[in-house]
Amino acid sequence: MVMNSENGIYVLCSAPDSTERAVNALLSAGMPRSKIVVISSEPLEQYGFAEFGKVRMPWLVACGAIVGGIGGFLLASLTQKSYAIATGGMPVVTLWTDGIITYELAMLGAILTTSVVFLLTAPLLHRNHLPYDPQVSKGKVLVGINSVPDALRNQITQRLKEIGEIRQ
Amino acid sequence: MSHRWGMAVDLDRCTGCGACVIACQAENNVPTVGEDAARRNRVMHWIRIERYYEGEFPNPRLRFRPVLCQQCDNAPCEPVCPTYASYHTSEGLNAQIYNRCIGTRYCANACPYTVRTFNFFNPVWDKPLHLQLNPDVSVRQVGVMEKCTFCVQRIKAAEIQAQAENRQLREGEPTPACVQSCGPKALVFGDLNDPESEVSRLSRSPRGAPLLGELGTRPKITYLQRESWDGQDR
Amino acid sequence: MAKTAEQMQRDLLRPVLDSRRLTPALVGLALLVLAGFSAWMYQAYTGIGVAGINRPVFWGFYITNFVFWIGISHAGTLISAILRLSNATWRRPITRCAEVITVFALLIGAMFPLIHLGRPWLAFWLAPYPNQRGLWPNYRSPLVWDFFAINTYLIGSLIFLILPIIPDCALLRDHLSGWRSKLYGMLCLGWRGTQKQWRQLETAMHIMAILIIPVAVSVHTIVSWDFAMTPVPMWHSTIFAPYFVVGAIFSGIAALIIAMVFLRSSLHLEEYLTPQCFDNLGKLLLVMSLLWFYFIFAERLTTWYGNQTSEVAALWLTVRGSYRHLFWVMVGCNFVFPFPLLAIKRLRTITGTFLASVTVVIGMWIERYLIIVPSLARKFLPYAWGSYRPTWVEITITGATFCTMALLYLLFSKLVPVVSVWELKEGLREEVR
Repeated sequence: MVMNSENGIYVLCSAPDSTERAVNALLSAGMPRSKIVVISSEPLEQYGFAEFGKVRMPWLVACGAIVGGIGGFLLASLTQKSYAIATGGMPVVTLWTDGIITYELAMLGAILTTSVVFLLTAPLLHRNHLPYDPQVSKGKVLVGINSVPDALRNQITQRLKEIGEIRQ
Repeated sequence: MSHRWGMAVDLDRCTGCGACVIACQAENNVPTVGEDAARRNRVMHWIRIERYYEGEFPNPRLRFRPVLCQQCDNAPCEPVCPTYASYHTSEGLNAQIYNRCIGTRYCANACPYTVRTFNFFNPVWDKPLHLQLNPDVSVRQVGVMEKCTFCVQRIKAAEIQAQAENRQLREGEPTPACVQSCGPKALVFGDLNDPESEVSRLSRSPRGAPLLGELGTRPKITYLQRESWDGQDR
Repeated sequence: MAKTAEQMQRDLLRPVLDSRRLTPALVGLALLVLAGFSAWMYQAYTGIGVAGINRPVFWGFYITNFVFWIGISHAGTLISAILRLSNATWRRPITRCAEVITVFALLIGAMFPLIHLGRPWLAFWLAPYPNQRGLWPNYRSPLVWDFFAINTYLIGSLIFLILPIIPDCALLRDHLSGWRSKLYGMLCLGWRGTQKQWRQLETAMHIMAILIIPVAVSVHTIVSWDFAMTPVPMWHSTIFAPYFVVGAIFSGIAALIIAMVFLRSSLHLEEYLTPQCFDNLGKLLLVMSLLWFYFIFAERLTTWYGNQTSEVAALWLTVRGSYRHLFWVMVGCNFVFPFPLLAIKRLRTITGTFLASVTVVIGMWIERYLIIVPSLARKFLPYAWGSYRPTWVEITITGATFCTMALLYLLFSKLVPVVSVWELKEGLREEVR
C-alpha cells in the first residue's frame, strides 16, 4: 500500500532521534520545511516537526455556531409566526423556548463545522496520494520529500541512506 | 361579539345520578372499555362524578362533584403537546385535534384535574351499540387522547344555524349533552362574555369558586357550594 | 509499564484481529434482543394498552428507561471530555470505552420515545419539515426540545467517538488483509499520519471536547424539564435540572466501571485497565454518590417542610406508602452500600468498585421509576389517584434493551480496539520524556 509521487524520496526511521536527524538532513540540504513530510502512527508534535502557523479551526467553528444559532432562532420563531397557534397563557412566539432551540442548533452547527473543517484541512478523502508505508504501523516514522529537484537528488539520497531504509 | 364558553356547576343541587356521564358518552361516541380495563383504571368517561364520603357511620354524608375538562385559560396541557394537538381556540375552548395526536400522553400528565382520557386500544362497539354512534362526532383511533369539548359540535351547529338565520345565539343554546340531561339543573352552560347570561351571573356568585384555583390554571367552570366540605360556611 | 509500544499495539489489536465470528454470547444476546423487538411489534400492532399504563399513571416503564439510558449516556462525556481537557493521563485507556457507552446508550434511549407513543408511526411529526398543511412542531413543548437536544448530542458523540478511531482504523488496515483491509481502508478515510493530520485531529478533538460538555448538560436538563414543566406534585421543582444531570453522571460512571470490568476479563486487558484506573473512577463515583444524596435530601426536605397537601401526598407515598420498599432499596443501593466500598481505600478495588457500580445502576433505575410513577399516582384530586403495575411487554422490552447494549458493545469490541492504541502510544512517549 505504498503510494509515492513520481520523484519522492523517503526514509524509514525507527526512533525519534533518527527522525530528527532525517529532518535536519533535509533542511540542511535546502529543502523548505513546509515540503518535508513526516508520517507516523502517533502524534510527534512535541518534537517540533510540526509548525503549521495559525490554527483557524476555532474561528470557523465559532462561525458555524453563529450560523446554526441564527438558523435555529429563525426556524423556531418564523414557523411559530407562520401558523400562529395559541396555547394556554403563552405568547405565540416564545423567546425563552426559542432560545433553547437556538442553543441546540448552535451547538450542532459548531459540531458539524468542526468535523467538516477537519475533513477538509487534515486533509482526509484527498485526491492526491500521500506517501505511505505499512512499516509505519509497526512504529517506524516515514520522513521525506514529495518531489525532489533532480540536482539535489543524489545528495539527499546519500544523507538519508545513513539514517535508515530508503523508499522511493 | 365573540363568545367565551363557560359552565357553572352547582354542587348543592347535584344528586350524583350520573345522567350527565351517560349523556356525554352517547353524544360523543365515548367508548366503553369493558370490566377488565375499568378495573385497571382505563375508564374513558369525559365527565365523571367524584364521590366523597364525609363523617363516620351511622351518619356519613355523600358529596358529589362532577369533574370535566375545565377549559382552562392557562391550560397546562396546551404548551406541552409536541404536535399542537391540544390548543386554545378563539372562543376560549381547549381543543383536541385527534388527527394530530401521536399519543405522547404528556397533556394528560400535565392536566391537574386528570380529565383527559386515552384510547389504549381501538374502541369496539358491540352490536347493536354501533347504531347508537353520533354521526356529528368522530370516532377516535388507538393512541389518541380525548376529553370533554363542551360538545363543540353542538356549539358549532348552533352558531351556524344562528348565522343562517341572521340572528344572535339565544340564552340556552347551545347546550352540551351533560347540561341537557341534568335533572336538578346543577349544570349551567353559556357565554361568559355576556354579562346577563345565567352562567355569568352564577360565576359571580359568592358561593362560587374554581376548582384547584390556587394552581393558576384559570378554569372556566365555577363550582358553587354553600359550605366548603370541611363544614365551614362559605 | 514495561511494555513497549509494539507489545501494547499487539495486545490491543488482538481482540479485533483474532476474534471468532460467532460466539454463544453473541447468539444468546441476539435472541434476547429479538424477543424484545417482537414484544414491541406486538405492542405496535395490538395497541399501547398491552403495557401497564393507565389513568392517571400515563408514563411508566418506557419513560423510566428513556431517562435511565439518556442518563447512562453521560458516561463518555464526563470521562472523555473533562479528563481530556484537564489533561489527566489516567484517562487514556478508558476514553473509548466511555465514548462507546455514550453512543449506544443514546441510540437505545432515543428509541423509547418511539416505543412509548400511542401512534408511533407518526413520530416523524416531531421533526420540523415543510408540509402542505403548513404545520410545524410546537417549540413550546419540552418533547420537541428533547428531539433537538438528543439529536445534537447523538451526532456530537458519534463524531467524538469516530475522530480518534480513524488512526486506529489505519492500523487495522495495515494489519489485516483482503476485504477486511479494504473495509478499514475506506473507514479511515485515507488517513496517512502526516503531522498536519495529527495536528488537525487533536485540534478537532479538543474543540469537540469543549463543545460536547455543554451539550451533554443541556440534554439531561431538557429531559428533566419533561417533568418539571408540568404542575404535577413533586415534579414542578426547579431542582430537577441539576438533580438529573448529577444523577446521569452518577449512573454513567457506574455503567462505565461495569463495562470496563467485563472488557478487562474477556479481552485480557488487565495491564491496560489497571487497578489505578478503577481506583480513580471509584473516587469519582463516590463524589457523585455524595452529590446525589445531597440533591435528593434537599428535594425531599423542601417538600416535607413546605407541607403542601398534594406534594406531601406524593412524598409520603414514596417514603411511607406502597413504594417505600423501593425507596429504601434505592437509598441503600445509591448511597449506603457503595459508600464504604468507595470511601475506604482498601475496599476500593476492582471488585469493590464493580459491586458498588452494579448497585448504583440498579438504584438509579429505581430512582427514575420513583420520580415518575408515585407523582403521577398522587395528583391533585384524590378521586383520580391510581397505581401502576408493569406488564410482560414492558418487562421484556426493558430486559431486551440491556441485552442490546451488551450486544452492541460486544460487536464493537470485535470491530474496533476498545482501548485507543495511538493515545496509549502517545502517553507512553510522554512518560518517557
